Amino acid sequence: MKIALIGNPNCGKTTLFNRLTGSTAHVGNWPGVTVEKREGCYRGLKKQSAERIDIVDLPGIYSLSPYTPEEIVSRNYMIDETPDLVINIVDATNLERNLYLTTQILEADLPVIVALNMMDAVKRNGDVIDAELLQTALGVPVMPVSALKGTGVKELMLRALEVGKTARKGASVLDGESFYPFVERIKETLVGAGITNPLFHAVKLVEGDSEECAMFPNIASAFDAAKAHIDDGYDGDYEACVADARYRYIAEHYSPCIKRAVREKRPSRSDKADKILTHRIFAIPIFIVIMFAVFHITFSEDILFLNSWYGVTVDNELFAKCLLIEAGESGVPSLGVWLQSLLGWGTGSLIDATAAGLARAGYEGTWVSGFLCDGLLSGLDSVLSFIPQVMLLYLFLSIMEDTGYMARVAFILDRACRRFGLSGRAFMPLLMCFGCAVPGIIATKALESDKERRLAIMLSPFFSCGAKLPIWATFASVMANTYWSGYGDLVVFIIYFMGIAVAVLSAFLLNSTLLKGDPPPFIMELPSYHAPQFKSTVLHLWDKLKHFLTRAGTVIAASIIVIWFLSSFGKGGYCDIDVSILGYIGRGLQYLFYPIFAAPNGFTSNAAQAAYAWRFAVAAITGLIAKEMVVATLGTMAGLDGDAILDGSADAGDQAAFEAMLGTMTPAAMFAYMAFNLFCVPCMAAVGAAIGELNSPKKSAVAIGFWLITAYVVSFTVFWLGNFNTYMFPLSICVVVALVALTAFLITRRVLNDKKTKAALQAAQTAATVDGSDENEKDFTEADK
Amino acid sequence: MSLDTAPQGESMLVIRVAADGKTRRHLENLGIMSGAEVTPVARNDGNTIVRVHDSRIALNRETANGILVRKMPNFGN
Repeated sequence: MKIALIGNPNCGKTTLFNRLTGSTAHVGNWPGVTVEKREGCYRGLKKQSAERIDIVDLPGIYSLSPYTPEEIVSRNYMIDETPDLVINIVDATNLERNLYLTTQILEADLPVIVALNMMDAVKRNGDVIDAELLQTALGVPVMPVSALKGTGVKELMLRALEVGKTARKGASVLDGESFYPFVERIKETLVGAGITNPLFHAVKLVEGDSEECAMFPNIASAFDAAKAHIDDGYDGDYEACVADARYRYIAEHYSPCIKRAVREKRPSRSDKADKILTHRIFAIPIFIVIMFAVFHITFSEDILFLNSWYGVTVDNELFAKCLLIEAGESGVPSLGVWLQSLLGWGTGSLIDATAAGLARAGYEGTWVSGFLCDGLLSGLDSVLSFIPQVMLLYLFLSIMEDTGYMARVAFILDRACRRFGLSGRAFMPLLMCFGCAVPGIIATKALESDKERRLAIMLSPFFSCGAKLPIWATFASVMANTYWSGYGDLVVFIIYFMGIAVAVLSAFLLNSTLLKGDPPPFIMELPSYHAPQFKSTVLHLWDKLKHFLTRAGTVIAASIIVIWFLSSFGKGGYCDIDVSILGYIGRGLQYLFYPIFAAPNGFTSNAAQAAYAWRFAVAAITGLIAKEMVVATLGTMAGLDGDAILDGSADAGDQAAFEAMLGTMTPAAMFAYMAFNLFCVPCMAAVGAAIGELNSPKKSAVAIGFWLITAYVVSFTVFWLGNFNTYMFPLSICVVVALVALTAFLITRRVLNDKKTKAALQAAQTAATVDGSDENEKDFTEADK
Repeated sequence: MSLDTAPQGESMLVIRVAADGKTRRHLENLGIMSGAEVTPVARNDGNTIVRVHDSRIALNRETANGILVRKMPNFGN
């Protein structure tokens, strides 16, 4: 038996789905906003029925006339794939609006159960909903449940088992309306043609739903011709009056089921919070402060800049030991940095112990020890040591999302986004890209316009994902130890900010050239604020952790082995990295990167350039497989270094060798290198998702070309701007000037165009004033009735 | 008056929704249509959050500007 869960967005479908299918179900790969259907299996009724019960979770919809592509998924599943039963989940705290969808679901020839969710919240408000009365009014079973607590779920499924066995004919709440004879006539034609769900299609055709009209062009044109002869005051536009009729029916027949407690007319807590958090002046500063705090707690080596600003140091030996720092030298590290040192200390000891064990067994200096310690373990360690910081960042983002604050951020950023062709709605998928670009790109399905979706996909890699974070954190800690003492978190903040700034600029440029057009209107339901759910947050983090570990264990471990092999074997068998296969390939490749970081100016000495430039080039290329590979490759290659330029640092362990290798780069080269990794083609998984969503070879090629060009231009500029005593410096200035000039030109052109359209609009409005006020008057009197 | 300037915290009656077909339909699905009662609760440079039924809907300025409203008639309060 197949059961579909349908309901408004954010009404608890996925919570119920998780509750029903538990941990045995295959729940989608990506957590977050549901944009694709998920399937699972309910096993709670094994005793009562031998039948397999499949549950399908669908994206939330407000109506069966879809507005965005992800809503089409839900509608098509229900109408075309005909599940055995539909469970319509209704948010009881917003009954009327949720029942609007129910009235449409009831028109399909499917057994339906209404699950009244969030009844506990209704009780808390002091309201009472008479479920039995509602059941009589709707004509289908109504079951109160709490998806969060799990109450009533078993009863719901028992009822489902029973109801799913008997077929149901669609019924419409519109049957008293003056236009209903049309519905019946069209329905008869459809029945004659053997179409399933005739009533549903008939109502949608009368409404003039564009998808339906395209599906049944003959009926639609016949109906168009027929209604031209009728004058019933609707001018042939039945869409608004159908919606109106539904809401009227709901108000008359279903609203009496709610007994609302008498409440003082006072703004709710959410309203009060909105007054501050979406305030005209404070909203954006509050957002920036929150984001900075998140980065500071995750990445700062020096909490509140106590050391660098006020010279505060930790002098107590024991306390310093607990914080894993040298006493008397530095300030207090942030939670993220502390956790990272703790994990690094653990894994470092593990690698040392393995090396010692292998040495005792007589494997020292052979390829076995090299493969295990220097290759695989160092490579994996350099990726895995960032788990605490990645998880902490995910935790903060997930809390911000769960409380409902992120939806407000979309609202406050809408006006700013609009100037470069995006609506605030695009903020949500782009924000998910900070976690991982793959679910972010898939979530663009929730955007309504094709152009906006394409723009959002092209910008998605610029929102630095969790897999890129190890690159920033690595370089930040090297910089904090050498050039920018104590400001590791600022380095990371600058990279994130640079990503956003380039995204804004390129969005503007793309919107003015390739992807012209205004973004669609911003219309979004805002959830009520609530405290984050402990269980769902933990589950979310666990999912992310699993994903991170799975990748480390598969794609990344495999790639590390390949890199280790290529860098340890040459013509003469097991050999030094410099004469290995990878050494030859890398030396060839480095010329590609000469203009953006690999030139001698990018390194502290010519010897360092000769030894390391090609390794950074190889690492950047392996980053195209998965971004974690950049540090893993660097880690593997540093682990193989035994001597020379690293002046005795080899004795101090792999981590020191690693940092010494990175420290041979100048700050300008480090920033340019990070920029290249940020803006270049994302990992293979994200490219695959983008190609899937863009659904056109040409558009995909444009996107990939765009990423390559952006990466090259930005890192070229960053690199040479940092080398102002070279002949390339004027050239980088020229690039900046050209970009500024182009932007200024496009802004002026747009402002002029806006003025023109505004003037035209005003002229049209003055001409229409007389006519418009007449119509207003008519509506006034109608509304008064 | 239009919804982007209507006073906050007061119940308003929607008189007319001026928007293109697709947007108007989406607004109807959310319960914003002529005859509906809406309450603006917060505003940021014309972008407005309104309460409709028991939900909170955020609208950008241009959309809010196309929704004409007037004060709810008071019945003896």
